[in-house]
Amino acid sequence: MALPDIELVDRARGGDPEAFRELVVRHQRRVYAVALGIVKDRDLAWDVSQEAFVRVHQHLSEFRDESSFSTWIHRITARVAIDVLRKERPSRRSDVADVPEPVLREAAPGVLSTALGTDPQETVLRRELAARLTEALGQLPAVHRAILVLREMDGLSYEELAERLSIPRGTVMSRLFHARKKMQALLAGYAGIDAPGAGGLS
Amino acid sequence: MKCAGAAPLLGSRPGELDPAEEAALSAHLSTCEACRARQADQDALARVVENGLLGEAARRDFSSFADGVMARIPASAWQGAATPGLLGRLLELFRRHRVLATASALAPALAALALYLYIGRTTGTGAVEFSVEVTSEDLAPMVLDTSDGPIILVGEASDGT
Amino acid sequence: MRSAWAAAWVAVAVLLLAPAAAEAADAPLPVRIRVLHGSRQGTPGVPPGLEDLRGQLSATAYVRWEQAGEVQASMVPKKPVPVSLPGGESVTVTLIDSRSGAATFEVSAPSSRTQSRVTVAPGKRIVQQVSAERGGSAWFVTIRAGG
Repeated sequence: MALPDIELVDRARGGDPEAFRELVVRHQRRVYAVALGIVKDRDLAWDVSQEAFVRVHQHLSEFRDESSFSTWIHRITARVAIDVLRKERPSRRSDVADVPEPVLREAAPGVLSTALGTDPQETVLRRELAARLTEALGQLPAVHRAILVLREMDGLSYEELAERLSIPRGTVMSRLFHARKKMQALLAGYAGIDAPGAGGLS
Repeated sequence: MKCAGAAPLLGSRPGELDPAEEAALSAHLSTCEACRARQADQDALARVVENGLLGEAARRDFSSFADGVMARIPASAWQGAATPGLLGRLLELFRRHRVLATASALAPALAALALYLYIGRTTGTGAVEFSVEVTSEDLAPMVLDTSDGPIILVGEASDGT
Repeated sequence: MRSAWAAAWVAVAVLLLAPAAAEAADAPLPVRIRVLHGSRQGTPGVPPGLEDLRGQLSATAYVRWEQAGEVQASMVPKKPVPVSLPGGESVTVTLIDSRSGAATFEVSAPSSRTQSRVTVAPGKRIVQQVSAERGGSAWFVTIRAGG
């Protein structure tokens, strides 16, 4: 019978390694997914994910069961991932800092939803886009990536993202917007349905 | 509101926008086809990020992952690991305050919710020098004995990391 | 998301003067209660008004102290004395017993779930934390009988 997370957490706190191992196995893929979304590189993501679990173990006593365990460990994962990025690229500040984006030429509004909604090959197209997702994510600045990944993987609200990342809510919203806009343009390009020339926003 | 102002609001979920933002967005969307289309694009791509990343994770062989994690955790971390609950927080408090409590005759009640702590010390003649009784449902009190008198500390709020 | 009992506790330090005679037990006991704020961050030190507590406070991990209030009361047994904290909360100090050589105080904060009963000998000060630590700082009350 599968024990709930909180039960495993209690046992792990009490010094039970098998309980902790079970938690690792349960959450490893999603943790990896979060890490991969942020650091882009698969081997680095593997490393970051393992390190994240080590940190989780170190801080187990701090977990309070009012929040979800997976959201908690994803936060830790994101932090490890962002720290690793900062260390790896100390001189590439543009990757980490908030650089104002030039106005993107976006795909014409609606082409993606049309393609994904009515195209008979829609499922195939979705799978293709999912497959290139990491590639597309990799084109975003690291901070935008991190926000988008946390929003999508954990459903964190604007408030929660603002608090976790110590940035104003307005900045969260604008970064999410820029991240999505770029992702859409890239994915539309991959799908061959890009219709550039729509220009900037009016 | 123009498109540039509406765009960051498009990805919001119910309850995330304040009434003013909500109203402005609704008003704009009712007249702007392009932004309605942008909203549709966002909706269509919902879950693509999640599915894409999880798909990557699904494709990878994780059979050695947990072993790798356990290998990184030193064996000593498992012994005397943080005891849950009040006693755990009490021990944590010991660690955090540099001065160790003396005469720490802790007598924690074993009831799940209450920690009853009695510490006392008498002089040679039997006169009471100090005694402290603390009852707490949540906090893990600790008493430091100083020459000027007792200091009673309580546990930490769950302001963690 | 955070624990509900992270309410402000005020540490009440009670200094007790040795009661002079047996009947002193019934006489009102002058008690000085100060509200303190202790913080792990900031410039270490105590303000001049808290110099008498410097040694005692240095036993804690809080390095920077400030006084935020004071109550001087003539206390008789069983009559509670309210001490208000910045932020609107209130702590109650009650003298339970006072006799030659020792006095007992009860400290309770309605919004928290912790109650203490402290007996001290003459000349000693009680320093009690009355709020759970948040953001590296906490409220304390120091009680000294004798004013």
